[in-house]
Amino acid sequence: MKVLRVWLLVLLVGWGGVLSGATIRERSIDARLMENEMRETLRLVVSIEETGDLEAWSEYPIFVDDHIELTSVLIRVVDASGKTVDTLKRRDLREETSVGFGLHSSTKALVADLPRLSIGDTVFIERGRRHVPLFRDDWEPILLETPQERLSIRLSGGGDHFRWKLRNADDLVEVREDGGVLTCTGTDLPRRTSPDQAGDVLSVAPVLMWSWDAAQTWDEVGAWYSDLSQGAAARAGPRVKELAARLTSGIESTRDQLLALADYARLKVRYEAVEIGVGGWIPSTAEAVIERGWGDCKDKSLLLKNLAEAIGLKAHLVLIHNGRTLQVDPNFPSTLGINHCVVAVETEGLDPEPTDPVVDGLFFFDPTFDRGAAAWLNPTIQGQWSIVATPGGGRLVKLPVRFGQEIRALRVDGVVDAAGALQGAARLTLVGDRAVRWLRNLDSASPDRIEEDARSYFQYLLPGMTFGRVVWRRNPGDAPSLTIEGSLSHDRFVRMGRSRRVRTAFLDTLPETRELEDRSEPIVIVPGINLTQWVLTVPSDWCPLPSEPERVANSIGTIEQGVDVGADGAVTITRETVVRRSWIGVESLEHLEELATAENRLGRGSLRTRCPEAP
Amino acid sequence: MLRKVSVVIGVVLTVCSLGSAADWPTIPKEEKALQSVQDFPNAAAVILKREGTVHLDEDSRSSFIEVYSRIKILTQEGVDFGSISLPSSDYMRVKNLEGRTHLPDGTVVELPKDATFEKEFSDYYGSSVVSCAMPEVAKGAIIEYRYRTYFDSIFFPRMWFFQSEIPTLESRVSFEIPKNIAFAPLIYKTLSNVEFKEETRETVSGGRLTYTAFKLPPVPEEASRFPFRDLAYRTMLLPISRRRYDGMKISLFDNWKNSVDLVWGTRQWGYLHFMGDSGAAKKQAKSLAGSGTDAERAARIYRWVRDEIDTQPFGSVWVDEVTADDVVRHEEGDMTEKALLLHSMLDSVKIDSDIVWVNPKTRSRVEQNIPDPTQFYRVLVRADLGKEGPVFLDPCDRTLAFGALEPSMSGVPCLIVTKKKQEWSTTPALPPEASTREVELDLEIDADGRVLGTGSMDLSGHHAWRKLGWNDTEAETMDAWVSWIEARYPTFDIDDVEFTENIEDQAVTVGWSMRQRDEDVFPDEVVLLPASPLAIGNHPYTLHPNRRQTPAQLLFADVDRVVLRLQWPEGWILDGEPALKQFANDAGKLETSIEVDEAERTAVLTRALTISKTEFVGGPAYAGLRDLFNAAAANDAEELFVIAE
Repeated sequence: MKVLRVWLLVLLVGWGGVLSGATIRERSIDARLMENEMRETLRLVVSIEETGDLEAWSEYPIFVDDHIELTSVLIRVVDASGKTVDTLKRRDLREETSVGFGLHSSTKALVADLPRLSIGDTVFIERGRRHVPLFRDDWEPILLETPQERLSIRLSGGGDHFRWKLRNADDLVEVREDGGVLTCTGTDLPRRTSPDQAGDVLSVAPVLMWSWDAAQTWDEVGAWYSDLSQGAAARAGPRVKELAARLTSGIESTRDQLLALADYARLKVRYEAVEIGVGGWIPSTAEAVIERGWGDCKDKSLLLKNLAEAIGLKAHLVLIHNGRTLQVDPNFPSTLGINHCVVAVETEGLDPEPTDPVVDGLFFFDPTFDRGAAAWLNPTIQGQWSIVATPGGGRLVKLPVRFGQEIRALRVDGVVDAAGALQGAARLTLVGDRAVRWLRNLDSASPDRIEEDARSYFQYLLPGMTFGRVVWRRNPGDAPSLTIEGSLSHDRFVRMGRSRRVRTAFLDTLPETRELEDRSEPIVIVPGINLTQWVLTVPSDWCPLPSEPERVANSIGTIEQGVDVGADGAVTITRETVVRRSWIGVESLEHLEELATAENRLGRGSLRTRCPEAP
Repeated sequence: MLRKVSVVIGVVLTVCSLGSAADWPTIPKEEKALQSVQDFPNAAAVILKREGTVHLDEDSRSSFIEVYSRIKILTQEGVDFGSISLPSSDYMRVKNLEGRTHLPDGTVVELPKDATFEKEFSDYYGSSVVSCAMPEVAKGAIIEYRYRTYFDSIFFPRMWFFQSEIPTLESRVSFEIPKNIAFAPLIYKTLSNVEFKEETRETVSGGRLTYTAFKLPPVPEEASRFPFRDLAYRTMLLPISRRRYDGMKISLFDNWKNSVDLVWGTRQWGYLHFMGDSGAAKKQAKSLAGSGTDAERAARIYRWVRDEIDTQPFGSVWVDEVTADDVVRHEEGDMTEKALLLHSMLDSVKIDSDIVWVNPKTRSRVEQNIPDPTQFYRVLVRADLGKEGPVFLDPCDRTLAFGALEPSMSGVPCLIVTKKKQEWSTTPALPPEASTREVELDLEIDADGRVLGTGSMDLSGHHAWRKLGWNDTEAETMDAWVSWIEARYPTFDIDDVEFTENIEDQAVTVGWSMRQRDEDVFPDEVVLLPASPLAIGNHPYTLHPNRRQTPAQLLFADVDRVVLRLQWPEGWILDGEPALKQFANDAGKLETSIEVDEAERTAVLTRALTISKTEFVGGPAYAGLRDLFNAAAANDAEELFVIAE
């Protein structure tokens, strides 16, 4: 069946409006911000204009959970003649509870089924919801993936703590603040289009963010979470201390003791996403997590925090976004974008190693990551702003991108005969996040399956080659790592034309330059080191390959290529691309384009032998 | 009710095993000491024991399965087996789930009551998933859990899979059979070297039949393998007959006629009931049919059922108390109901049609000698259009033309089930030439060394079906096509993309212009991949045929063809021709050609890859598939060099 529920997609990717060719005639949001809740009403008027709209709008979901209650709803479908052909109220909505993630989630979709929708109809949706957030903030996208004729967002109440931020939308909407009421209006708004490798809507698209929480600074946001989780944290009991003592028994250095505790939280406590009650924010007690042996990110983090404290260290829960496509806005203190919890341990008395993920006197751990050593930090939280929740007030810390621990290295050694055929071997070493999938396979898939995958991957990296035996091995080190090796051959590796041409494949990493041209949004790429080496022994009477090195370096990274001829006549062609960052803002696109252009050009042409000119 | 049960049963049985009474079984010492499984060194976990007891109630009303599973976690990856998910519904009700974890140090941790959850998936069938998070699951731990699934019909469930995706040391199923029902046991011994025991004994209430299999390997995860249901070592009980209280014997699934009769049902339920209330449907049919040939009239009705009746994506061959007019009134129906509605409507305008049972080959193969209707997942309609012959209709997919079938249901055995007779047939299959991707590229190299020109691609048959309704809106489809083309031409700017979709012709066309980007233009060299945009970079059939364990299947046979016409400027030459390959075997063929006109400075390169068949059973057949793809991958990596002299 080629059926994908559009609203499920909406839940997965976030609300950006239903993807369709329809036009939203009106979108009005009225939010009353009260001391402990937000009363929000939405009015949506949608014209159904093409066949695809029928699929997109025939099921309209309203999401609710333990903190969001549906207070009113009226949905009407009016045909082209003005006749009302369908009316739905609360009792007509179908409840679907399978929309959350993990074993359990309080999220439900209340779905309005509109099976008789026709082209030319207009759908009127009016619904009210009551939000009771733990942290008082929210946001709305200005643009949807459906064009809008009229947009109105009205925020009232909020009191002294009310603050807001409109981002990337100055030329789209008009904002007025008058008498404690904020009004944001716009007309004829186009549909939002998202370029490839784009950031999340909350990070890059035109949005209105607001907060009416008493916590106004990052310090206060951190303190808020410290207080919120204190109930569970305070209940850490003797079992935690006993466990900490047992786990650290016989280990001398405090650092190693901490790593042992982190390993327990990472490896002995299984990750399970179970949202219970206010489980979205408040962790289970460490005792409960030890008892059942599983927990989500905040459960595992609190356990590690308590274990670390049990051996005399100061540890804190840390709120962060897990994933490269969203960056928490450092200039708008709130919980918007937060989806993950990790741990920071103060390094005083810890004597960390230089390679440890230490920033600002804090040793960071992600106890949900079960691969690599504890000191290898989950790459998808690197480069993110984190809110360290300390009792007296939190602080905002940016985690570094440890690009040097994310490596792909491909080396091909081979002998080329006079006819241009190649016999040799390829060796691929993966370090870091890219090794994780392979390592998981090594611990679960059959050797045949791994070999099938490995050979297919080599084919992808080195097109046209024929591969023989393929083997693999795990590598030691903090970061996950493995090496795959295989014999290879190619009967026409060197093309014999006017000159001898070699086309060597390289590990490309950067986006195509057309993705960067005229781009007005940040781009998200994978940082790391990509090294390709071809070591070729060619017939001694062949003229040399060009050996002028090429190098481009800037704030994003470097790309370097060179050809060396060894004393034994072996030709070594080396290309290394280093990308230091993941999130490339608009201001740095120029540098990224410079690197991408160099990488593209180096990869497109062939290397040709050049004979010395006749005297 | 029957219909709804049938929908969930297949899922339930793939996960169920067996259970027992109040006390947990004793775990043998050797299981506690087990570190790995012989011959499967990478196994993440091993099923130590699966046991299922099927209690069949003679009144069919309170039957249940008791399931017990014991699993050892062997690696860190294996801890995922600590999350248990069991399909449930109003008709297959999972109850009494309980479990515990044995830690390597001997500690036993019970599954807390609050660690069991239920998520509803659809209120149309009341289906949900009951799940639990087993406590303290870590490498070396043993988890055991048990539960009951209650059901209301002896027709389900009967299939027991001894094998799994991980190794199984022991799998046992017992059927407690009431005296008044006769069953035919069927055992599918898909492996030759498995120790297998059968035990039969009489009980007060009837009989008990027990099958046990030992040391089963996992069903291999191999590329394009046959479905799990075809490959797994399994057993089932086929209900043959039952004896009523008055002693009268009632036939059940003892032959196809009786099986079909059961599904046709009575005036109170089943097909007869469905068609018995069809006044509104017939009226609608007559208003739709209009005049013209039978084909034209049938097509109008088909399109109405296809497009105007919302499809609930649940399949089986059963209907219960729903009628044709219910479906018309609610404007929605499941896939069986829509097919029966179409059949009723055609009948009302005097177009002969038959109901056809079919099973997608992606689900499993049908065994014609087993008169079991639950083998089938879908119902189609075969309309007799006189001189125009019969046509098979599937009214459940808005992107299928009148007479078109999706590939998983093309060329598969089907049972035509009229009230009077049953007849085996085969659904139509498209030949390779009817499912094509035809690409034409007209490119030139300008004096600066820039490549530019136009491209087009015509999709037909199943290839077109895949892209029809690809996205919800034209804008999204346009974005998707631009991305598709750009991904295959990374050094080009792609513009002027246009596409057309024609559902009734099952055709899609897309056209574009392309221009090499400035930074990718070399003044003295052009490198092109002639097989683009259909080049095979890598493929999954890399395992040596000696080690391939399962047969392979492709969804459909097809032809991919690329024609590249290239012109270069004066002063440029073709620098050696690419070593294009020719290849042919039972799996298909690769045909290539290059024609160079040096005077006109043009070349025409063609490449056509034909996949001739869809099933590859046995080492030689798989080797043929592998060789064909290897040849295509090697050919498609060949580049064309044009250089300035």
